[in-house]
Amino acid sequence: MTSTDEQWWEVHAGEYVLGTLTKQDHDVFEKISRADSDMQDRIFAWQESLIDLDQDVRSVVPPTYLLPSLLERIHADSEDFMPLRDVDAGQPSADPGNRQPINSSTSVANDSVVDITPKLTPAVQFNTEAEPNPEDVGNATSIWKILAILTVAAILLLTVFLI
Amino acid sequence: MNTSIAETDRENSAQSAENLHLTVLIGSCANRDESALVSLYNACSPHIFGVLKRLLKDDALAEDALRESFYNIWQKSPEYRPDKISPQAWLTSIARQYAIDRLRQLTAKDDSESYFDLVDLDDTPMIDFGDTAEIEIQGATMRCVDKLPFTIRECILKAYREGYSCEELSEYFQRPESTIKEWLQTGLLSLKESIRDIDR
Repeated sequence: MTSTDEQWWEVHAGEYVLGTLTKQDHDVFEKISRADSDMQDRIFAWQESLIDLDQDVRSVVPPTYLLPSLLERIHADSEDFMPLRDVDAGQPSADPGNRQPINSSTSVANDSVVDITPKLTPAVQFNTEAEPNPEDVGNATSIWKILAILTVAAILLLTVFLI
Repeated sequence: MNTSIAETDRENSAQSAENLHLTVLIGSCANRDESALVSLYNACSPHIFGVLKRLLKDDALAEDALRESFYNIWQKSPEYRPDKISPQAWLTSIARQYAIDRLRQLTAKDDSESYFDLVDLDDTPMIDFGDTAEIEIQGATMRCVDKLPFTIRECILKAYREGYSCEELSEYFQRPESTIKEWLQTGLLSLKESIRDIDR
């Protein structure tokens, strides 16, 4: 890569982080960065360097209602997975009325054990615990029978040849 | 002199401990640990909220952006690469990206006037530009930016801190977009070289 190419990519990675590319260029650049680790590294380097320009910003404690609202957003996502488990167990869907309101980080931590863990498991469980298809089992048995007959025939031929 | 070195070492050590703490929290978020997200939010939201308020210049927009940013952080946590970027830079970049996208959406809805014309710039009490001496003693990149020609420096700062697009910078500086592009690119290249010199 020539020095001019280097500079072009470097400057555009910088503009990508600054946010001054057009929407079209921004989208193209994003796709490139997903596929090209060198480009991703350039972007990381600019993000790391430019964060320095935010050091003068005055920190502001956000309103208290924002955290519960964030957690509700995350719970709403995890609930999308809940019906899978409920249907599997023959239970009705989770009743939203049973969900305790989130008032503190402690209750949130307790919620996480109940609500978040299951969403990762159902798809895997369905696949591993599925009953094998009888047709597949029948096909596999036929193949083994044919292989056994062929092996016996080969041994007999070899014995005759040796004698 | 020795005292100064000792102080720097202590600062670096504190920074490393903080980085490690945040990295662990992001890792726990990747394992869907909500209490880690709460800790991460408590530790980082005041700074990120400050950044978002400066970019969006509107309380309601900034609050919405903060919630969405942390939602994105939660979603993207499995992709975090601690060997490539510090947790602070990664977290802030996700929030900035959301805010910039939001700004562009808002301006796209009404092409007739700039979003910044709609906002009363005097009504931004959370931004404190008063203590310039404090700004001057800040990090290496800021020192490099300060060495750039005034218009280029302003161009980069307005884009980064206030989310100005190329078009908005062109209106602000009363210069064609091609000139703004040239300023930005000259500034970024010069900045990269200065940062490389410092790293050597």
